[in-house]
Amino acid sequence: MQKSKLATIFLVIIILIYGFLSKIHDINGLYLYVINPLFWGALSIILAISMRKSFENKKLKRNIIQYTTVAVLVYIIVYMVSGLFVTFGRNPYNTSFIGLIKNIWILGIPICAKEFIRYKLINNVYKKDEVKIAVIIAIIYILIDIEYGKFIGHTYATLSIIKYVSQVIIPSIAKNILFSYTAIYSDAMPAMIYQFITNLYYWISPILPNSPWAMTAILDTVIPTILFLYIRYEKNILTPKKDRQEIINTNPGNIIPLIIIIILAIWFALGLFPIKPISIATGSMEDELFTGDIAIIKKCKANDVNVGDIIEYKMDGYTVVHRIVEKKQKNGDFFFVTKGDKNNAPDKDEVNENQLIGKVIFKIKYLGYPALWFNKLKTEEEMIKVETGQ
Amino acid sequence: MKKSNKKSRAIIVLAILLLALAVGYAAFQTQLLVSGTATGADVRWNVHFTNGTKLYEVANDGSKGAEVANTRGTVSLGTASTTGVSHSQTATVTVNLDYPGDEVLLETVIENTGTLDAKLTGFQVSGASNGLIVTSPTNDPITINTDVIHKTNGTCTAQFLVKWDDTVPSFGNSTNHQQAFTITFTYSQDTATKTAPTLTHTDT
Repeated sequence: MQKSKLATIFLVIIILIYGFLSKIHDINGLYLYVINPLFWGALSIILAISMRKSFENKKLKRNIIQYTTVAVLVYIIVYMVSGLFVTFGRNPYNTSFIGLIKNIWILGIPICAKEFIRYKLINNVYKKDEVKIAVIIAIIYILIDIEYGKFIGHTYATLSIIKYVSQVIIPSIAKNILFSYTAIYSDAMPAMIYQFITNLYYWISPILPNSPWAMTAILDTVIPTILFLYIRYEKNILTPKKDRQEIINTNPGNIIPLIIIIILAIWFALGLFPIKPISIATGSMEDELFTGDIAIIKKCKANDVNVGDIIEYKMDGYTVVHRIVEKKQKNGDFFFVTKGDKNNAPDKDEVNENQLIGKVIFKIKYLGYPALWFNKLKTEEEMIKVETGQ
Repeated sequence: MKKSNKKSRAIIVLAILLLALAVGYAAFQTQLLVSGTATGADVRWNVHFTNGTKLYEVANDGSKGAEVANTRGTVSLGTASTTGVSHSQTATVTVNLDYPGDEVLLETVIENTGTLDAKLTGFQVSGASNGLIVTSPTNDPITINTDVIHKTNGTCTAQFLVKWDDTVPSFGNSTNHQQAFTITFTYSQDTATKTAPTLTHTDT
């Protein structure tokens, strides 16, 4: 079959209509177990039979697959190791053999078929239209990824929206850019390897890390982005007409250390490590801790704190940083009487050991102000929503 | 050729590292801190307590009464904001009970806004001590509501009796009869259901 832009556009519209229909009705067993896998599977088979085989640069294709394999292994290793910091929980997926087969059918088939279809559609047009079709398909796939039902009829705070955008939309954009690029310069294999192997880990591991949303959002965005940069660099090297300086400029190895440092700094700020920073919001602990200071908290248990230590403990919706003035034990549980240094009297309620987060081991002056200003903005926006009902 | 060898070697090293991690985790599984259902599973999973999780008085016939005042008890869902839904699998419950045998009813509403069916596998209560007991509404040990919490806004309700053990003379700390505990639910994927959902069922 000759390349046909018209056929490609027709199929893209079919995919768009299907994606739209799948969002406007309730996802039930029939859709998940029958319609969705069959639609994507059947479409990919039709395209495999009817569309001509493309010829790619074999060396580039091999290199891209190797880079992708490295990226997938790094992703899984970083994810597994993170559990040592954030603890593990049982995997909600059904990890039995039958469960795995079912998940491959309901999730794996659509994932792989979509990437195959992307590759076939992009390569069914002439070179000058490849990028346009790649962009259109990427946009449609991103739109299909969004769960519109979550937002219709619900009111969300700013933070919830930021979480969803960071966890779903931004990683979807990063992956779709990567997979469209590999579909142009290689074939469907890199995208299928990436998607299938990273998901396979979720389907078979008996335990998974209790990763905060920020950690998974960063991983899911940064790794496809770095992989994209490496593949682009590799492609430039193998392209005979590329200027040498341009090739050097696109070498992602120059920025990898910086990216790693930034990621570690973000994770530290989010409290994912055994020590974490918090901003002091009030002056109750003057002259030890002032408003706007950063206190470095070491996470610990009740046995590790004593009278005189400054601790952070949980209350309903916020945390408090005060000094322990008395430590008691009742029926095996520890209780603490705490007091702010500047307050005249101890805190009204005793602190149960379950409320303990950690103790202050270090302080840094003034660095906490930006976080306090941001928090003030967030609180004001939420109050507006409460008052207006929006 | 050299660059290709480097990548191949990197793949082999990483694969061995991954295998070593998997074997290490299996060998040291008792030392790993594993509790509850992982909150870091992929974005297809979102099963959580909702703001409908509240404390109620127990009516004379044992049924659910009016919602309690804040002075009697509160429920905190951790990451809940003033507007919007919570996304927590753990609820922190604080109760003020007045005398031995005093009780309130905790009604939890669990919602599944993910894209896969889920079923409850258990509840875990921690931090309850010093005279506080948490049971099913019939005073039996907590049972699991095995109904499937279907995806896309399917919900499931479970009730618990929170009472001051009448064989224990003291309750709470020295200044008030107040105690706090946490209740966490665990869930897993349900791959058995293939038809349209039947909705809420109250655990009694």
